[in-house]
Amino acid sequence: MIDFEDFVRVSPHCISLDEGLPFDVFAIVEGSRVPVLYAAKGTTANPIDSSDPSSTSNLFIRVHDVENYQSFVQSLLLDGNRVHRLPGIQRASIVAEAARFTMYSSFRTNNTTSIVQATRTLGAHISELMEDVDVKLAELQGLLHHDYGTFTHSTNVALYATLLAKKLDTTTVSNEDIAIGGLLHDLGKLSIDNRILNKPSKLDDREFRIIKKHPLEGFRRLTIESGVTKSQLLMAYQHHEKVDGSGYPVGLCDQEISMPARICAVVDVYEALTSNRPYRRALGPNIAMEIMEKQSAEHFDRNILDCWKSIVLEETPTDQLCHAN
Amino acid sequence: MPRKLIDLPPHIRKKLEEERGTEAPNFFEERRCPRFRCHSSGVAKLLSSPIENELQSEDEFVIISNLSRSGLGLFAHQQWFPEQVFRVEFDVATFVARVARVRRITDRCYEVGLQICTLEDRKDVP
Repeated sequence: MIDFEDFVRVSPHCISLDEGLPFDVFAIVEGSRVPVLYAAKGTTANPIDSSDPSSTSNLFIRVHDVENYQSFVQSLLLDGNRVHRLPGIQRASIVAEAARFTMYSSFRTNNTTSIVQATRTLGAHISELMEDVDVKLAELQGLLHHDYGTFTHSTNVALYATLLAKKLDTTTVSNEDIAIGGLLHDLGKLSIDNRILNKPSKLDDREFRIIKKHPLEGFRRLTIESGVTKSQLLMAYQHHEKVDGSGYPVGLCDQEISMPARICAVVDVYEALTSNRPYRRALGPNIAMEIMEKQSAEHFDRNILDCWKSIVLEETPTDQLCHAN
Repeated sequence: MPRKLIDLPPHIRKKLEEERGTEAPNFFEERRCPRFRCHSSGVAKLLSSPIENELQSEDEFVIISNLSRSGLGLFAHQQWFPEQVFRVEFDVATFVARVARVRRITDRCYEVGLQICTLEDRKDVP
């Protein structure tokens, strides 16, 4: 979450709106090694050229303003009339930003009930966004964060999974269900020590055994909550199952794994490969797809993997294929 | 009760028939009490479930594989889910137990570990 000491990266799409900001905004400018003041609290930020990649990833707020920023973004999201009039990419950015910061706050509480409640609203916004706007994966990846936080990963997986479900045109499960399931799929990681989750070197057998408990732990946490659907439960429980039977926790094969979990499995691995990790930098979309094809195609549902591949390769401009965001 | 066939692989069947004594902890679990191997058949009835599963409406034939003071191991012909609660009746006792973990052996054989909630009935075995 923290990119520089005391600073948190935020979306320019949420900042460049014509109203007084309830927090200071900082930017990295040429020659500066740390963020410098860009727009003071109470002022209106200048519009930012969101098509310029250098300007879209260099705005920051102070860590102590995270709650203010979260409220600010949520209020933007709740202003339905205004949000629906915004360009698709800006609306997507507001939804993604609200999701990430809400997940950050609710994951910090480690309270399953509050996390589940938060995901209901976010899931509805994500699904509505995907239905209303023709979101391209490349645009989406460009505006998402790619740090290694469970809340960031869960947000990205929810967005990718909903995009994939829309393309697959699933009739057995709603896009909202998929979005909520994506947000909740790694809930069990809250029961795992951060020293293991963030370990930069290879996990030993004991640590790997502990990591492998997170699908079961997430499922258990969710079973005591009301209103969690079967699809959402199974996304948490089965997203590490592999169609060749080599997955965990059960070792299910093919169609024994629920459709939402098979969708989640594909985008979960893709998201992990295209995000920064303690032990490596993010990979580009085509390299990630190549790895998934060559090293683990037998792990995934072939039709779902092909569909995701078509989204990645058809919608990603060639100049972005080789480079991590 | 329909006696659906559990597709128990030969090596597991042989192990069940031949091995006795205590079961070693396996890769997936750390047990609190030693489990004693046994080989018995029984009937399981689903009492409550966090997840709807249309396949589990009927009483189910199960093969009991081990038993301890706090847990029970068995084989079922279909997938059970964690946190489901079953009444399991077999020749020595009737337990109400909660599913703790499940492992697929074949498409018609699942190994299930349960935590015993209550002992409902204990039969005197000569």
